[in-house]
Amino acid sequence: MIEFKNVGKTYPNGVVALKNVSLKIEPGEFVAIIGLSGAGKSTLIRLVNKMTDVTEGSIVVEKLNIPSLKGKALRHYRRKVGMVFQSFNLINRTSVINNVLAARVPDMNPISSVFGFFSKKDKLIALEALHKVGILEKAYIRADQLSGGQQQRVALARTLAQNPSIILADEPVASLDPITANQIMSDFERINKNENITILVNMHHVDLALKYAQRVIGINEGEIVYDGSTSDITENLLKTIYGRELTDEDIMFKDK
Amino acid sequence: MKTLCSKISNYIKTLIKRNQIHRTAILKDGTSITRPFSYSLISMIITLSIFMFFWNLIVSAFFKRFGVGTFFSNFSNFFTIIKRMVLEVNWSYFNNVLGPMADTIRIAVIGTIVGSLIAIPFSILASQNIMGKSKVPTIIKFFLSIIRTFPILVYALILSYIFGYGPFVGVLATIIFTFGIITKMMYEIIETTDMGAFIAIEATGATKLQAFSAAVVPQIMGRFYSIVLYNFEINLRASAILGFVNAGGIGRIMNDQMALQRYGDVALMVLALLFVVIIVQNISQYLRKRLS
Amino acid sequence: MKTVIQTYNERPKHTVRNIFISVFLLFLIIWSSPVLSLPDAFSAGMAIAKNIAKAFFNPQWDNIFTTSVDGVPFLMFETIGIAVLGTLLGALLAIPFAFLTARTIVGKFNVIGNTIITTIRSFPFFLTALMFIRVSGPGPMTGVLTIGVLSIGMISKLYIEIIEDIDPGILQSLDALGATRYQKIRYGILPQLFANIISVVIYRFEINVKNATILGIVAAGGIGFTLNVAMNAGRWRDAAAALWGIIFVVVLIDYFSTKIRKKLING
Repeated sequence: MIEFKNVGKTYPNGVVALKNVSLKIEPGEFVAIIGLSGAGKSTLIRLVNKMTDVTEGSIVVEKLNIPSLKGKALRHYRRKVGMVFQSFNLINRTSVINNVLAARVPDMNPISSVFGFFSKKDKLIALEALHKVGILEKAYIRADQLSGGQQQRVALARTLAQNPSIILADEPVASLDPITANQIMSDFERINKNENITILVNMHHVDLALKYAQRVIGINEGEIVYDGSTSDITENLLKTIYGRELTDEDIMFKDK
Repeated sequence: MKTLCSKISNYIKTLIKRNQIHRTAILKDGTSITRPFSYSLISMIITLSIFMFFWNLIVSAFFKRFGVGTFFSNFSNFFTIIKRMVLEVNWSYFNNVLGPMADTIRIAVIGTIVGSLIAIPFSILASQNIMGKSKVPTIIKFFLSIIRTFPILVYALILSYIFGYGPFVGVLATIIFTFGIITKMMYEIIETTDMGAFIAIEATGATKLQAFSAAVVPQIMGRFYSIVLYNFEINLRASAILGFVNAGGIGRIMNDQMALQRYGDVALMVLALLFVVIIVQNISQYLRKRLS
Repeated sequence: MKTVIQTYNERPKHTVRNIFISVFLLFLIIWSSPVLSLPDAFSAGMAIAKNIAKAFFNPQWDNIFTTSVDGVPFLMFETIGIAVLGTLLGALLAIPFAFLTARTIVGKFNVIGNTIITTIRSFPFFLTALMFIRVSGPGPMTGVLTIGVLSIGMISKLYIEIIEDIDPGILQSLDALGATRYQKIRYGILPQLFANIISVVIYRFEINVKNATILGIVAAGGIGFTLNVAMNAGRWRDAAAALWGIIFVVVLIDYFSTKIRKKLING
């Protein structure tokens, strides 16, 4: 369970990203966080694995107080929290399987991790993860030769290979075309159901969020303005979240 | 005096003003556009005066002392040496060349390998993007820029007084020299590497070192090998002259035979060196092309 | 559809390649290891090392703050002068070599030019200096000639790259305007090349300053002669003064050269 208690975040340059955020996410939920860019979505997600630190309040995940985690304990916690990025953040100039294997590095002994000696067990875990996202046949191809959608799948496989209980996704489909975006989102949906992994995904596109997530959190200027089931959301609520009428760029499939 | 000063400053002011008018064009509809001030004339004058200064210091001073005639008549000496080198190549000297030539290659091999191995940790420590806010990179960069000021021969010269004569000094000098260059080239590459993957691997719970070896190393490995090969080429050429300060290799007998005016022997050494350099250069270029 | 196990078994293996590279490197290192044998006179060396280190932080200040012709400042000027004139000489000498070797101009005959340039590049430059001493005697003039010839290799290589790189599109567009050959070169080629040539020449100058500091070892002018003589006589403080001169000048030139080249490239 992820629990935010009165969380606030102010960046050193004075920008207030989050104000008094409180929320609870149960294991196995698929939550979409929507809002304008700059509303604080990204900050909220990055607080969960302490890529940024809170300035107020506390975050508790599985009885661990996240802001106080440091060094080894933090790394140990991060093993259980996967992260997917908008720009994929793959390792260029190396094969797909090596990209996925990189997620096994923290569990290895220091010497093999520095020289990249992976065991058969790790290699099988990596291939299994690739199989789950349906790109097993690309395992030995260089990652930078794949299409954007395939690259995001490699990133997803890399996250699966660390066997997480939570996956954080920061705008995972923002730089993909609508059809590929749809496919990636259904990958997330499948993983959420089959592996029972909690998924927190940031997105800008309302229609995709409503289509795949069970629960939507709407953020406007650092504050939660909506938190509830996807089915309860209305046109008016969306207007409050976005602070304006919805435009074409908020929707991925424009004709629908 | 005062009036003179004000006269000069007034003159400069009018010059600047006139220049500005000159640089401004007024279009038909009344809009004006000013061309930015060009420094080319000023830099040309500075360059020319630097050149004239050094020309006076070296070339015309030389001609005043020895005369233009002597200089050009002496040039026949130069061509005599080249002619004798070409005509009198002493093939029987080959056995004497073999040992020192091997030493020259050995110095370059060991110097390059050890130098580049030492460079690896230091180039990581010198990369600001890996080290975060630490001051270590600034300090290392400062020392590196001092290390790189000296040419390899200065190191060989100093070290030869500490370690005595012989190839060991050459190896040490090559290590220092290689270390300086490779560390700089590598931290420049590391600092311009895409850090997305590094952040992603760190987010999986890896330490900085693990994230570096998993995410950054694969991206820079090819270029590292290519830089090492390139440095091996440089070191091979450099270690050929190390012998001039008794730091081992072929340079020593080259110096001796030159002093004895045995140009045929020198020619053979140059040929041997050329042979080795061309082979190494071709292999290295082939490998570097495959690496990129 | 392949299974995970099948894919695992079909992974590309580089065992042969890796073994070959390891064995080759191991052989190379073992073959080269004789040069690592320590010379005998090592214990005396440590005392000298201590003296050199001490002198380095307490150099002969009198040699640094002086205007006499054997003081460090004057010799550094001479060293820079050798590099300046030598670089210009090299930039001039490289022109014919470049045009004789550019593929766009001589086609397949560039083999000849390439061979000559490689020979010049691989020719140990102390040897060149010793040859030029027979022309201009010991002194900076010999240094200038040596540096000039030494620079041919790199500068002509870069000239060639530039010549082969010239964008034919621009020439064509000027053809369309009805420009004469001279106008084509003046307005079509030179503006493209100028920044590049200057940046190459400055880079070579930087290298040449370092080379000029050691030419004195074979009496071809510059600070190297003083350095060598001082070290030979065990006058470590004099040698340290020369070393500081080198550090000061090289760092200064490095700074300005990097700055100017960055400006030239970024426009």
